Amino acid sequence: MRIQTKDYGVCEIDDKEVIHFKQGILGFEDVREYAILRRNDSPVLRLQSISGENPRFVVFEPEQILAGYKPKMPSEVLKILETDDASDLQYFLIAVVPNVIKDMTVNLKSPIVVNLEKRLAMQVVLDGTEYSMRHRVFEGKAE
Amino acid sequence: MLIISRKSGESFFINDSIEIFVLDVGSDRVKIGIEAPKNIKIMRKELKETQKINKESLESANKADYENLENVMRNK
Repeated sequence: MRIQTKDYGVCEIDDKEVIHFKQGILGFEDVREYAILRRNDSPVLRLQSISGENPRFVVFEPEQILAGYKPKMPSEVLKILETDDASDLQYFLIAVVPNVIKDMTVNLKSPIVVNLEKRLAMQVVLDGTEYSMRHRVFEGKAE
Repeated sequence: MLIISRKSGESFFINDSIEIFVLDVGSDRVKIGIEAPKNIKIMRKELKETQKINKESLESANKADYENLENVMRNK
């Protein structure tokens, strides 16, 4: 299908690229179908509603942000995403991008967890973890 | 803030219709039960905070300087 997006203009999305959120993203429960969009080889991705309209979120793959991100997935999550192997899952981190880019934060505690094989996703709010909801991406880096 | 001490198995009321039970007290966790009318919204704070951050993310997506962001991320 073809969608008109705010950020990338017209995008061609294959049906196989659509991911379905059984419970919606927190605060946006009415919208269930999204696609992960990447322009060229950019490290900056979009989690875009397939309507082409909002909601859309700036997301990153964890390895762009920090090394060794390995959240422990509760068994209920595996069940909802229809797998018994956590290694089937891929994570995307939602970012808040302020005017001053150096102040950008990502939510490590509430990753978007995707089973790409089954095209299922959910936002998981991790319990009992040290991962921050407002992890400063450029913390401690010189200007 | 009002502070009440309760033992496991005890409860207290908010108004006449909401009853909060302390079910179990562990070393670093308390199990709490809530009896409340259906229209009362109950949400763990982390979920509420995540909801707020999601909304901020969407707001920020509407006005972010993507060219700058991409450059900064590529040079990270």
